[in-house]
Amino acid sequence: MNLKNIFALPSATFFAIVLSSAAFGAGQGSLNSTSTGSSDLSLTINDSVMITGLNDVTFPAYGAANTGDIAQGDAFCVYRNGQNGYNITATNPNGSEFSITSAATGDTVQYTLALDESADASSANTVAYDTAISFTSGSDEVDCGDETSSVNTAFEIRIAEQEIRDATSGTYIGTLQLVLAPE
Amino acid sequence: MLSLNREQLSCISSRLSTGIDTGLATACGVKSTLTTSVPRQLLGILLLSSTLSFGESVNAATGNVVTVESLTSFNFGTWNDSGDLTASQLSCITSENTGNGRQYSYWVKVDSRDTIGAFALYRNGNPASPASSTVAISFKHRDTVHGSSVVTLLPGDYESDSHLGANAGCSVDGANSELTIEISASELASKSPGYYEGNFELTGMGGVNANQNDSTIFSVAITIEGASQQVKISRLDDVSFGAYGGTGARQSSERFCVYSSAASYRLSVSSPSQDSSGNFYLPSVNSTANIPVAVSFIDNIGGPGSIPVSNSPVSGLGDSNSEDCLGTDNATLTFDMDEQSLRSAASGDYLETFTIMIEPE
Repeated sequence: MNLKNIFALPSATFFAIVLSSAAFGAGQGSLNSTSTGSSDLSLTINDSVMITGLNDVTFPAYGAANTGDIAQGDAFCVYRNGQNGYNITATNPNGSEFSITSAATGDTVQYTLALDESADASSANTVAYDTAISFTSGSDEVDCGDETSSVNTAFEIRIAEQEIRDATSGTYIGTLQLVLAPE
Repeated sequence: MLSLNREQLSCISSRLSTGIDTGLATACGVKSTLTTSVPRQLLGILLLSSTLSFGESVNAATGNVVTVESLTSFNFGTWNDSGDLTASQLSCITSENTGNGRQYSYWVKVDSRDTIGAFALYRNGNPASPASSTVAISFKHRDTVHGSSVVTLLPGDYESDSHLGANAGCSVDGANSELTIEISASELASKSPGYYEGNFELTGMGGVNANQNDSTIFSVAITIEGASQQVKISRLDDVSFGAYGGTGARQSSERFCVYSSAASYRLSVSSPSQDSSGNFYLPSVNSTANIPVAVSFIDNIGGPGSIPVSNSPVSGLGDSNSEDCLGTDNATLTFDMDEQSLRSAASGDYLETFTIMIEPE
């Protein structure tokens, strides 16, 4: 069985930082032995997030010799300006549940998804479908250059043995979409 | 008929006998109209007959003495558009015959030791200074004990008014001679800045026959501070960075006008959030977060700033002709924020006032 998850990065997940163009009224100097003027600088930084470093996930073929659940995951980078909080909402753009589908038969195999605010998924928690899950802090570097291996978040896809046993032979493909939003 | 009193005759006698005739009439209290019309020989004849009629020798007195107490030099310090200047000094001038204890009249004069016919201070004490570096001053004198009027002294001439001299050491009535120096503000204002000094001599003449004198030398000094150089900064605007597209650093330059009557100026920038090392920041309105801002300066508008600005001032030339630079900016401050600092910053508004001070240099 060859499972493939393709993750789409919504363009809206990266918000622009907008610098204000508002004027405040600069101060002009007067003619004297010293002269002092002033200029106000203003800047507005809007919420910014970006998810990068995602890779496709491929499960090895599962056959008669295999037993038990299977799990695969990936670590990726979440940038959040100011290292502030964010949330991730996971969905399947081709369906209404976490699943992969056989192109030949149309059969589906459901899976569970866990997310972890660490790169090793050691404390990943299963998340509900299409539900925003909050996290405390993203990296303040867009490429997570300040993180080990430039990743700071991970997901894990787990398929139960019985789901696999129920499925007809073939290749199953699906897309997991992670929507990152500032909090 | 010419009328001369005893003192005038004594005075004339003394000065003629010693060959001194400069200011003779004034010095001896003779009306100038008469003096100038009377030949010197006639004065001598008149003097002789008058002297004989008194029947005593003008040089016979013992202890016939005039003393002029030393003066402290006048130092007006630094003048900076501070108006007219006046300084007076009280001293003791005696004129007496110590033999009989009688006091006699005295006259004073002031001479410049630097030049003839003028009371002046010279830049760096150089009498060869041009008019722009020569400050005219005036001297006035009065006797404070006997309540005489104030007399304006002419260079090298004894005053026309005589005063009764004091006894030795002015021990009876105290110091009696008040010498006043006046310098007008307009005179000072028209001169080149610098240190000015003049050297003078105060001479007192008197004694029994008005043939005694004594003198003291003193100096007068003042520093004229340069007319206040003026500067002006104008045409400043607030800095707007525009929309940030999500990548890259941000840079914005503010061009403005600096007028300076001096050859150059110093520019310094400060802001409330500036740290002790001179670094600038754009602080958050709602939190303690801030974004580093690099400030740089260039003395033209040809490009972004190239001279980093921190705690130390930077220099520019400025426009010395037009306060508003004729509508054309001549200086630039550039504000830079690097990409990572922008990305690291928490969401929100950031605002800071940068104060730019210009000083003549």
